[in-house]
Amino acid sequence: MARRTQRGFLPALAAALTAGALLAGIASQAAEPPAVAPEGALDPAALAALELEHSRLRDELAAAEARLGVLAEKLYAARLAVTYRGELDPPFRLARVELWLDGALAYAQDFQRPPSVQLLQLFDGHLPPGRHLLEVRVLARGPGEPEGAPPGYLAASGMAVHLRDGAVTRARFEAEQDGDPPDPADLRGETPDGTWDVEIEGSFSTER
Amino acid sequence: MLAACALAGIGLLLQAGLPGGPEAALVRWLGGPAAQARSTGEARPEELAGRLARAETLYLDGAVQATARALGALLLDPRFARLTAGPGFDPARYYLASALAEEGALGRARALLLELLGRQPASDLRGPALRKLTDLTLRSAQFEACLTPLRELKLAPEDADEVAYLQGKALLSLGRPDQAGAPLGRIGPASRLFASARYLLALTALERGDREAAEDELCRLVRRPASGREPFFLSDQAAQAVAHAWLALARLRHERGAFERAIDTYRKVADDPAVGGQARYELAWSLERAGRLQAAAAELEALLARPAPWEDEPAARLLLAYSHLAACRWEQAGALLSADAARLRGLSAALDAQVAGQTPRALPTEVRPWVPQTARERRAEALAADLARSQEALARLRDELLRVRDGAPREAGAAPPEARLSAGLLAQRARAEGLTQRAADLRARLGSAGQAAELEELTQTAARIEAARDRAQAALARLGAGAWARPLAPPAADPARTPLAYLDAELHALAGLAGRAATAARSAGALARAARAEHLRRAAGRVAAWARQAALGEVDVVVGRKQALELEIQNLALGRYPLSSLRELAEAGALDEGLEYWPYDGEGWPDEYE
Repeated sequence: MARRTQRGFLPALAAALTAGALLAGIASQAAEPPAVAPEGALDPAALAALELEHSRLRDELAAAEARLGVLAEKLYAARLAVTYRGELDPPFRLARVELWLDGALAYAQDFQRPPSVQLLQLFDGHLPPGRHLLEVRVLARGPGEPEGAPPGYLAASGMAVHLRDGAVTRARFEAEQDGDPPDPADLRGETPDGTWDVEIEGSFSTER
Repeated sequence: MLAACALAGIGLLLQAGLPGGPEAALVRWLGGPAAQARSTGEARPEELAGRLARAETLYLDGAVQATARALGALLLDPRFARLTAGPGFDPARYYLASALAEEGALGRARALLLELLGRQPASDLRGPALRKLTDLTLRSAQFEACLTPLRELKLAPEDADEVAYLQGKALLSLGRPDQAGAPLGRIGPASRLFASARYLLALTALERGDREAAEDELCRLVRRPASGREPFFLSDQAAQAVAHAWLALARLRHERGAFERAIDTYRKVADDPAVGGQARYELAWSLERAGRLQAAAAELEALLARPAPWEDEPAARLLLAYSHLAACRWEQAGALLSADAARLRGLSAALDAQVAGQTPRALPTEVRPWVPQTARERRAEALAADLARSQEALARLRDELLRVRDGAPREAGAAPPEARLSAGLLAQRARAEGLTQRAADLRARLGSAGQAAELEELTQTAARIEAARDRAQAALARLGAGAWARPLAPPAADPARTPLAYLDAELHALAGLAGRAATAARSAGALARAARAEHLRRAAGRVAAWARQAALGEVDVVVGRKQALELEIQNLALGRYPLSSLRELAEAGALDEGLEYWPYDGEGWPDEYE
């Protein structure tokens, strides 16, 4: 009975949202770019050329890094190794770990699934003796958080280490986490709440 | 000489012929007495094994930057030259190439992998090297740079599938799908790329309008053996291709009106983490078209209960409203449509103003998940960010080199004024970007309901914020250029212990790189702005379409109510039960399930008359 009264309602929406439009998504993967890009448009050829130039810059940068690496080994007898050990319990999911060394990003790893090990080696290399600043950032996702969006939970810890010539300094960050993030049912309610409690302990030791 | 061999191994001698180049200067210093005095003679195999184990741990734990530096340094070190020249060092070459590829140094990564592939007798890592080369080529789309040298190499028959896939993708990228079929069709079922190749073949069939061939191809891809046992281990990549194949198959079936088959097909991937959400939304469409209105509404309600916003969410809400409308649930349909129409109208007004050039020029947070960036827009944004990181890396290398050149201790006092100024400008730029986003969200909330004076004030404020952001960006660029242009002070380090010639050559080379990086960053910034503008235009178009559909839906609710009322009046006039009463009786179980009761709706009863 109801179908008798619905005639004329769906077509307006259906015309705009038919599977033809859905299939266009498939076909567009191999579609050619327009021959002439409008003014101020995103030019695919320019983008590809710039990506190639950046890749060449990274080649040169990597070569310079390697040269500086061998020089650092010859000049500095101080070595730093940094590890991170973390326990992140469900429903949180580890999304990313970063190490910042003297204000520069020295390690960054995104995780689509939990790592198979709890201990990660973040850095191992020769540096000038003296004071260096380390900062570890741990990013996680709560339940229902989409993979494409930035992770919703962040904890960080930093410390200064003091390197000595002829010695290996081992810095360790150990994280323990507890918390109760809001689940999808909470988020649909009127008064969502949640907790994220992380303790990151940093320590270092020097071995002659 | 040993050092020169090592350098040749990694391909770092590209500029060695240039007098004063950093490579040549470093080789000279490494072979000189100052460096020799710090060494303990030629390295022993155990020492190399220890270094390799450390590098392997770093690589496997994701520390690609440290891996690239450690292994690159190892290849350059003349103490290890004899040990690193042979095939025993191949695993390290492979890890180094992988780390370099992760770092974006694709040319050097490719050179190392091609070296492994060209090794005679064949390296044990030939297979992994070829797969890595395929992956980095697919990611970068630099097909020619890979396929040209591969043609010169004598590859084993089992390697042919990887090369064929690259050829197929290269031809597709050149817009020659008709020629891509041949190499893609050669790929055997044992290849890790088999599923992807068959999926591409289905797409090319679809593009030339051969739906039947496309459907056959997709069916072959998703078909399971009768035993239920997989003939090979399904990699993530293959599983993804199979999931997309199910989705494409379902779309084809929906398109040709086979809704029940489409429903079954969509259900195959309804729980897939990558395509499950899209499949469920489209499944609701098939249910709707098949007339299963209750099921469609239930599917949509379950989808809309997800806490995070998602692509097509507004379209799904519209479809849910129309499901209610089709089932004569006027109240639910009307509530959904009027709420959406008001919200989408406001958003559309704000986006239209932004597209017309008004500030703030940022996409409202609410709209972002509904209209994700295209792959090309994401690439443009990522490139600008990557170039900024490369500029930071260059500045870090310069500071390291200057510190060695000056013999400066780490415990030097406060940060230099340039560093403090740079940190301040970066903070200002980040704050301005945050404020622009907040202004865009506020503008979207005001929509078309805001007072003209309010909107004008917001536009002016956003323009001032964006101007401040541009000033901070320009100041940062000037500060960066100034740091590289500053003449070098006389070195303070001990010239007998420090490779001053190398340091100066390296600083000179890095300054050249910094100039190129700055030029590229400006172009990348313009492309990223173009990408954001394109994204904004696309979002404005889609939101406007949804707003129009919601407004039409509001009209449809009124028309529907009117039609229903007319039928009720006609039925009452004929002495029949009104529809609403019948529904209530049926729901209360007062009517027998087998009872067929069709009130006259004014259009005649052709099946009874004929």
